[in-house]
Amino acid sequence: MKVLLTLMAFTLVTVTAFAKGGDGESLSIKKGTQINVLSYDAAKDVFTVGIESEPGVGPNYTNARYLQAAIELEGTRDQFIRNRDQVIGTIYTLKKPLRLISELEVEGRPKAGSR
Amino acid sequence: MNYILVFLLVVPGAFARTDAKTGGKTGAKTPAKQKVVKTVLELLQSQGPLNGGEEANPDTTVGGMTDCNGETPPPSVAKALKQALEFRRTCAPARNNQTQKIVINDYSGEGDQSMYIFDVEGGCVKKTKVSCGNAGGVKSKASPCSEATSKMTPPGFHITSRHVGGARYSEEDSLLLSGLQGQGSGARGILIHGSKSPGRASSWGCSGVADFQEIKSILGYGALVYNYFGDVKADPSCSNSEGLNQGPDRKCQAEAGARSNPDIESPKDSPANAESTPD
Repeated sequence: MKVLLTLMAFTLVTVTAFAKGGDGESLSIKKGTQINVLSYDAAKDVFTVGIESEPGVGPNYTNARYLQAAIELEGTRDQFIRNRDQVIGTIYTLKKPLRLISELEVEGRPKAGSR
Repeated sequence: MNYILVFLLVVPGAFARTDAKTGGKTGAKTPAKQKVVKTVLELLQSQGPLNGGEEANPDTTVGGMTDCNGETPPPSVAKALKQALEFRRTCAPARNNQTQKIVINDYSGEGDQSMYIFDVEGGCVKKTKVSCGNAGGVKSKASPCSEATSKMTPPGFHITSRHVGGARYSEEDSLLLSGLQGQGSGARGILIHGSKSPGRASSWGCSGVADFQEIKSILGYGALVYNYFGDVKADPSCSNSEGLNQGPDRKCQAEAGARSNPDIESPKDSPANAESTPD
């Protein structure tokens, strides 16, 4: 019985902690936001984007698939990456929310030169 | 998460059946159930302050702080706190502080890079690691700059404000830092928010902490936040170092975000938005 009671108490505390939420990074940028594509790291397949209205918020990392989907550019992923020079430096208005990749995940990817 | 919910449904059911088998009355306040309630309360309390964290050590003083999470803060923090108390006394918008808290983000390099939360008597409430701007991956140490696109941390005094209309963070998972010395930090979107890598240069100017929700509940809106850099100079590439000067002619100039915050009442003794000065 004591074990059960302890487990219940533990579960309640865990659920409370989950409900509080918001202790980590937010990993999405809202639809309608203007973003500036700043750079692309080919080795990590990571684009870095800036938020035009909030330049202090970042770093904002995403990948080709998420970025292409959010700005609704047609073509394959490979075409998108081949044409990255046209994308970098361009300001887009997000047609869909942009999914981001966490900083720790990006850091865990192999290092190499950018672009 | 689903497993936890299922567990919550199943375990109380098993508990009820056990009661029935032993002749216990369902719903009666048995000693065992009272013990559960007590245990839960104890566990919740052990998670940290739930009521705004009024836990300041009354023996703590600015000149001789003895305890902040069991550690003595470095001299840089004592110096910064003294400056903050002085700024609060002389700059009216800095006193718009519902929860009566003062935050020192110690970016001086003298101690580990941490956020210290004090009450206005100088009692330490909490210490936690905090991130700073990395200039877009260029800097590994804190470097002050108020230039909008610098990706560095704005120095000087700020107050916490409601973050409305954020593109990535919302008012639920962030606190906006509005500059009190002409830094324009609110317009940049400089925030306190959650981070998985606090304690190092990993943001674009925001203060990232591991335990954001607890910090938010302690600070609320209107808390005075001092991004303290000690003797660190502005980077040569930085064209705007507003907030770095804490000499006798330092600014007291609240930006629009601080002034329009509905949760913060304007002080009666002087205009909250005035570019001014000591009252």
